[in-house]
Amino acid sequence: MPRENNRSPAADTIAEAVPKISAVATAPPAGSSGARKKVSEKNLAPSASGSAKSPSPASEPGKLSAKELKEKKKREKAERRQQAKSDTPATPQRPQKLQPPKKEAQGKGKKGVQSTAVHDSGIVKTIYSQQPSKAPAGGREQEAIIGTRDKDLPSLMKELEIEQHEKKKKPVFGINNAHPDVHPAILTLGVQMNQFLVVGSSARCLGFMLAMKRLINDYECPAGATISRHLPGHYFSRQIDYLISARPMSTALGNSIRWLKTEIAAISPELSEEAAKKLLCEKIDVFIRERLTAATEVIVNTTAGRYINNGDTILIYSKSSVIERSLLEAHTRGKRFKVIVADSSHLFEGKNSLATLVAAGIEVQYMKMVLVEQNMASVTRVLLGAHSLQANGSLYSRAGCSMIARSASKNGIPVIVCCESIKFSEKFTSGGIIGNEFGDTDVIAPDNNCNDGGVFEGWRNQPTTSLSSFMFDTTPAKYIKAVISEHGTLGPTNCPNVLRANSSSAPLR
Amino acid sequence: MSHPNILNPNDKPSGSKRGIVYSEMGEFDILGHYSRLLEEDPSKSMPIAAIESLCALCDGIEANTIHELLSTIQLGSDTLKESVPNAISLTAGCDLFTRFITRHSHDDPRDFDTFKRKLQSNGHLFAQRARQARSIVAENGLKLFLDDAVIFVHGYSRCVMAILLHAREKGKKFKVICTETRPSCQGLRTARELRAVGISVAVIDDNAVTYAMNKVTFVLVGAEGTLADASIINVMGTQTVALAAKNINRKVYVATETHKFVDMFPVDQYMIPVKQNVIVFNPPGVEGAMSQEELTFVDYVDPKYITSFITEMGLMSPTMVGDKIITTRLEG
Repeated sequence: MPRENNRSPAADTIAEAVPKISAVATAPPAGSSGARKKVSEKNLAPSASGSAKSPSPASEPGKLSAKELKEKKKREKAERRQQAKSDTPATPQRPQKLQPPKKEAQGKGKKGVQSTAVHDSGIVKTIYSQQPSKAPAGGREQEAIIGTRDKDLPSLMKELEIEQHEKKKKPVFGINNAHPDVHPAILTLGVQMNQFLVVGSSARCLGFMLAMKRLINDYECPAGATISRHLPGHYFSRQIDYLISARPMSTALGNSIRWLKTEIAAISPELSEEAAKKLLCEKIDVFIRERLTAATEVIVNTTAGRYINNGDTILIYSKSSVIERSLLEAHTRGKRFKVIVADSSHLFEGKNSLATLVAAGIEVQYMKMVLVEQNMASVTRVLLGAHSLQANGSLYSRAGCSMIARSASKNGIPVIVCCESIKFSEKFTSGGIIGNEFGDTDVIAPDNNCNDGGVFEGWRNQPTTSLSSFMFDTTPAKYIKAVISEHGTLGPTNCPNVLRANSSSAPLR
Repeated sequence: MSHPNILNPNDKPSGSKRGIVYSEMGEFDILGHYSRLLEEDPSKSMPIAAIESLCALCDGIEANTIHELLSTIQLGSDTLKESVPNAISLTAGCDLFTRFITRHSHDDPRDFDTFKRKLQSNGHLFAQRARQARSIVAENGLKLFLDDAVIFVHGYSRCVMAILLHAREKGKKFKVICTETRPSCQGLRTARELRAVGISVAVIDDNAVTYAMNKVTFVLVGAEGTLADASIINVMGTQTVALAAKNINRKVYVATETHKFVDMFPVDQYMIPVKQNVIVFNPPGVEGAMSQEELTFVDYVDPKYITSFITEMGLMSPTMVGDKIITTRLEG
């Protein structure tokens, strides 16, 4: 319904919306999305008469100036904040109010996306009313945020949930929800990432770069715009938003996106579109070669050549392609060593490593992570892959790495991390909660355990019970002996030096 | 020093001796020069001797192009590294010199003669600066001395000696506990030299380290080489001393010049690039510990036991040392 309509339809909308709003908390999920829309319209309604009319696209084609837009948004935000505050009296009743939609959600399927969107907004509002400092971010609550959680989490994790939903503006994933601008290559990549077909940090980065190459080839710059200004703008961020909706951003991906944006923006406006596209594709090729392919090659060579020796027993955890390749390389170089593969839920990626290593004829032992402690004395090296390496030297990697590294380091066994410098982050987090990613709780509590007589029976209805399955954890720098990157072997705390050196010497020219 | 018979480095004479640089420009006994330098001046440390030997190699060999000069230096440092069993501190000197020359090789490529002369004088200047570093270390080390300190020393280190003697000159009051450091008995040499200037020294048995540690204010050791993870390589037993100190929270200071920083990254004591047979099961004809030839065995000290480094750049924490080495690598 167009907002510019005159008053009486708007009033109708309100009238229509009010009963639904009051019903939001208890409403069945089917009505919720509609209700949400109405809420937003209602919020807009008072201001709409004043502001929304003036920038009508017909009168000023394409010149809905950024300033005006911003102001409008500001006003809307203020409006919504007000709305959120006025809703606070409803807070105490939240538990009762929230349960019905959840039950409904169970009925609908595992991921009650729509229904939980409602319950999320409930939480969001409550928390904002308690913490007014966070209110500015609350303006985004109207965006369709995902609510795949079936259950409230304990307080700390609730923060995380908010953070994940708010800061990352995570829209609902799905090809249907994707913006029409999203390129098919990106669409495919998103699905692959979401379904965990493309899992690893480097693999996602590589996939993104290849998809971007296709996108740039297909890209046509609109008339009157230059590629260096138009491409990194909305068009680009739509692709990224879609990818983020598929899976939260990884450091490597973030770094490469930043690099690509800088490169696009740096393109000279004098260059013809064709030439610019060609140049960009070449640069992406160089990037892939230097930062991913060659970097991995160097790391594999260093690891296999220097850090795997005859008679070693090497403990690896889960799966890392670079470590797998290092082990194979060392094996082909004729080194005799033994590998212990530790593995844990929920992806059990260690099995992949196991298969590869066994096929190569390496002596391998496979065990669950809980047994690692007992076998630690016979280990001489621990090799770990990385999701990202933070600025304070702590390793952010597959959940479980922290425990392994701690155990090894307490036993005096050097822990070596293999990590391309594209994964070095200039940020760091304290603890592993913020920025972490939720795995599927269904793996912890499979459906057959939730049914009658299962250990998890009825857990979704217990207000005090929650399941969490984090994808990553943080290993403090003190448990890490060395980081092998394409810049040679570093101490974990030296990684910011590499970032600094990289940025100052303007690489990839 | 160039010899008339020109040899191809690829087909070395069958009787080629260790430590001699054979190149198209002639041959040069770099090992001989190096050991002569060390013999002539016992206070000279190995990296400096290596740098001076490479300088002499540049002087002695008739290089006509920059490429020839650089490859000669590379060859010289490789030869030198191969010819000694423990090449860690020597590697530090060689790498530093090579990097220094390489960085300046782009300065003025047109006039090679001037360039070469400039390089050579720079090389000598460089060696001289490296020599001066020790006195600055001694000055910096002075800040650590509290009144009536008891300082624990292990082995013989020129840097540690410089600090102690300098502190004595400045009128600091302190006593020294020193291990014998068997079997090389380097500790006895330390004790002898310190007693000669009137410092009270107690020499203890190597096994009495933990017994004596409670009486100690801080531990001061030298380093043969400082590695990229800020671990140090020093005479065998240093790790024991560091552990004993750490156990009761005594500070462990390492006195070293920055030209002993080496870009190597071993992750444990078995990965250090020194060939030594410390642990041998049932060696024929040997009842006791393995004997140490020429050089003493060296020990690897994990950075977590080290409080800080006393260098000519001031006191440096292990992290700073790591940063310094890595930054040099990234710049190089």
